[in-house]
Amino acid sequence: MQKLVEQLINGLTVGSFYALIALGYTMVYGVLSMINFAHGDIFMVGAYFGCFTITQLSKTGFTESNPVLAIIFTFIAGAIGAALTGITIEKFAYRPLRKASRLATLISAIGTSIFLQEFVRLIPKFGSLITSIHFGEKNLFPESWRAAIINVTQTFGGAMVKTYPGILGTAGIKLGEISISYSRILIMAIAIVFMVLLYLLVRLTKLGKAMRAVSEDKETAALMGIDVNKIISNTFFIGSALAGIAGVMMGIFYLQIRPTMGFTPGIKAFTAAVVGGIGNIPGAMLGGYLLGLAEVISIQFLPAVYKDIVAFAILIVMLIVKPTGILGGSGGKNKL
Amino acid sequence: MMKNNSSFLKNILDQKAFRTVLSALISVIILSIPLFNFPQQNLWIRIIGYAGLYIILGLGLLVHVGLAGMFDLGFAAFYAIGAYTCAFLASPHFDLHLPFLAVILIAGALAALIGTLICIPVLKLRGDYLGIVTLGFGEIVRMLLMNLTDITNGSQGIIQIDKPTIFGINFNNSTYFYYFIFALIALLLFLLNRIIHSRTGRAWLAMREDEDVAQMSGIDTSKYKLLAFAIGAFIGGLGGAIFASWQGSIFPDNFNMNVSINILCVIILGGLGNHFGVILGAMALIALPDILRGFSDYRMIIFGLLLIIMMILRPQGFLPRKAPQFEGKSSSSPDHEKEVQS
Amino acid sequence: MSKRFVFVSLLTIAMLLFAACGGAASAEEAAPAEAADTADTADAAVEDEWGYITIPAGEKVVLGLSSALSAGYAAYGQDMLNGATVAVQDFGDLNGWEVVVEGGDDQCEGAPGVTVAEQFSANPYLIGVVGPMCSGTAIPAIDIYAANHVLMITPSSTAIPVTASGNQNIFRIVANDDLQATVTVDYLFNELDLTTLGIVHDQSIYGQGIAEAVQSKFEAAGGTVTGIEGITRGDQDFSAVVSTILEADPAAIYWGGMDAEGALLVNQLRAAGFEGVFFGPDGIKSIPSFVQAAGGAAEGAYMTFGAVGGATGYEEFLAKFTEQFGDPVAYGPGSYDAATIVLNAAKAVATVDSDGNLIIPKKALADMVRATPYDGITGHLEFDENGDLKVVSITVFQAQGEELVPVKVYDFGE
Repeated sequence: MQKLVEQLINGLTVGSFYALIALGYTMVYGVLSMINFAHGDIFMVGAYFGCFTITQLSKTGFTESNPVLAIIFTFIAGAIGAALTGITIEKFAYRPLRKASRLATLISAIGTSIFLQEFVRLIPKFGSLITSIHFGEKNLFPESWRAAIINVTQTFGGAMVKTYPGILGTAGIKLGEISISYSRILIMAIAIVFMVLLYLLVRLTKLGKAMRAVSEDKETAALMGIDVNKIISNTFFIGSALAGIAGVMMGIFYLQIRPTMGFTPGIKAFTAAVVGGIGNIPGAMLGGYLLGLAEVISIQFLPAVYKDIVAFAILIVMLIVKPTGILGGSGGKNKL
Repeated sequence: MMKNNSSFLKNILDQKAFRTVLSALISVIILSIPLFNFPQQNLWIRIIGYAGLYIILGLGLLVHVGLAGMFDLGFAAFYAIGAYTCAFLASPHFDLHLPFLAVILIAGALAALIGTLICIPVLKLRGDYLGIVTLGFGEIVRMLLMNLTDITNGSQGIIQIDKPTIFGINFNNSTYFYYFIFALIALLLFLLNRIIHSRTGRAWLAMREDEDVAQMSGIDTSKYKLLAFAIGAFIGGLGGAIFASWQGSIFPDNFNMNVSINILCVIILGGLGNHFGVILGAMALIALPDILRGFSDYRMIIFGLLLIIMMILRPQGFLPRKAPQFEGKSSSSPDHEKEVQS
Repeated sequence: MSKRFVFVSLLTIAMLLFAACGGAASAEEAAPAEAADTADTADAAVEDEWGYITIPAGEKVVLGLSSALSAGYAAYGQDMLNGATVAVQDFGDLNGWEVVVEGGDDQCEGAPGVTVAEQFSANPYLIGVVGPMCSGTAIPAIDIYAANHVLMITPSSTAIPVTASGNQNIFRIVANDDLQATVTVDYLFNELDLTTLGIVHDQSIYGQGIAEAVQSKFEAAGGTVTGIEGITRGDQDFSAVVSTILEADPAAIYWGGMDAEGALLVNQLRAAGFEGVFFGPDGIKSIPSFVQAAGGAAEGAYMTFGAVGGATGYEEFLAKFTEQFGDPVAYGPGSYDAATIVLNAAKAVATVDSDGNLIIPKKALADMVRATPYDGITGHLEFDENGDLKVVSITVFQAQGEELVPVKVYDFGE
């Protein structure tokens, strides 16, 4: 029994990640009817920004003296880094394709995904390339700049895994027989807080209303005076920021990040978003948690290797029973 | 011809005469590559041949996505089924060594059967929901191949798959596979062309445009969906069998999601309409990274950028689908541009 | 429409005709290419049954390197490339001809690996290939290298089928998984006196292969394998696997797989309260991506690896390597040795003909590799007739602090 509850908590923890990432997918889908294949990689970029921040802060001893503040800065860095990446991608890779078919945007998204992964991997090389630009004998950058650029690029990215300094440890609380670590609590808490905030934003604020309007009907929204481009940018900003937060969370919890870390969670979160009803925000949250729990439950009964098979199977069955997603979404209406 | 201010490139590609000449030119080039000895010939046979394999797979997926309008993100499953069928029937694994023509047909048939079975429960699903389910199936097939170790040898794969012997010729050279692949492509192009202009093809067209309307006008959408899925899967299975015997060894990882996505990229780049577009799409997608080998480290990042740029420059793909011609509607109407774009 | 019909059917008929003639023609084309090499070297006293590599004066000798140079495993692949680069720097020129390393990106996958193999085989100035890095790449690629009689020597593909094909041009300078498993079981059983083992693997050719080898040997030795579970590569959360494998309370856990997931796994095992022994294969022998990435949880973990260090010349190699590339990751030293073996053998069998071309007989090259023992920076390297090492040294390392300390060396062979 105790085991089961602990496993359920594990499932909820993993589900929190999926849910946060799924939110970004669903938001973008809502306003653009596009599957942002690169969303998983935005999650990765957020983790990298966070890693860089916390590493630098730890070097200067700031983390020792102000752990809570350090963590907050790390999250902010991750969120902002991811958000900026998101709106940049939107502007250059997706906006020119606004009038084109959804599949064209899908390809562009795939290209973006490859680009982001490789870019992060190659950052140190770009750093050395930039610092080696010279005109005759004289380098483009002065000595001190060069050292700084190399330092920054080497610390930020690269092919090898990067590690978050272990901040949280394994301490936790005990409820009777069951022990839950602080990190798990933190993850679930952060996820829930942001999901609630997002929901409130969409329901209650002017921005949220505008987002909903654009989701419903872009052209009419434009006619009503809404700056559609701005709203779409904002949607990307927020969705990507959430993914970035999930990325930092993943780094803090699992300690390890690498350029390819976004692929599998991305696909799973996409699945979760669709199962919950693509375009539907509560649906994305629900889908995320369902997926997390499905994975964990399957391991109770079958060898761990079948975990993903069972999880997919459960989700497929749900879709067959409810073809437009559990809470209903807009995905079926779109022609290819 | 559309009179608009779009680029020269766009106009050229839309000219029918140009396209016919281009097709003929490409066919001649493809046919003659293995005939004349030139530096790195084997490498090019390999690259173009492998692109040819993706053309076959692309044609299969085209039936699903382009012709019947069913969003399929897990096509690698049929590729895998075909490949493993070939590996079971023609290798030391079970010590069966059936003749290749039999193997390839069985592979296709088995893939078609499984495709039909998969399709039945998901007939009601549309759009992205169908996409997710097919993605899930693709992954499930791959994971089953990975874990049913007793049957499939799991992650260790199956090696020493027989080379085909057809009409007494043993395929011990990539050149044979090369010609076989392109002969099959020609055959498939011909057959698909017939199907498209048949009743089935028209039913698919109607379903693609608006499934509800099609259903209401009396088309049995279920039957045609199943048919599309089966045909596409069959083609995928054929491709898988060829791959297994060409490469000589297969592993579950050869059929992961990236493969499904690559095949999807091929047909989208090609234009999703014309099956000749698939040829261009495959050449672009498969041959390109190999051509980019000179950049070694930066190969993939350039490739990613190229995908983005190619889509921005020509979002409808190389040879886009022609809009259906209706009575009374001339092709120079202002709506025509928008339809062709969709 | 009928025009298209005619067009397509003509195409089909043309295809089939070409297939009949073209296949035969090409087979003949391939043979003359080889025969031409043989005929050219009118000065060659001995006929080489595989043909010759002819490098004119002024051209460069090419050493190929097949590994993952982009995407997920690029860190390892680049490391191999770097090792070979240092080897070429150290070697100098081949009888006056400059040597260069050419990297082929196989992305640790089968199909690109075959393309790279074709590319290398088509290069007339290529004398041999170091790699491929991954077993799943090597197995299909071997067919191409064998058909073209290209020398192939891998410092990292450990799966058993790699040298089982009987081809005379394939070599491996790393212990195969069978031996690593033997060492692991011996150490667990006899050195650490542990009789219960839980096994986790990553479902890859390498990881699952070695995990299953460990399983069968451990059970054959009389131990109990309490469970064997696989994780999905790409996942970060293994909590479910962790709790399942720990249910049976094994005294030790063997991980079949690579560093990144290994680090995640050991971290989560320790967090779940596992205090037993953690043991892994050569895939986790890395300070940055395993020991450091696990953040302290890796303390005391064991791993098997071919002997490195203490062998001749390692310190000098390390100095040169780190100056240009930073620390070696895993297979840099092995790549160095592989490259040097190829170059040494080439130097020994190369002649210069009357036209001033460098001539290297292919079979003689392969035979020279097989016949020549070499004391490299990864130990004493000598081949048996399958291309595997005759004498293999496997070291058991343990993570202590941020160091990997050798704790026992096993020698196999005479």
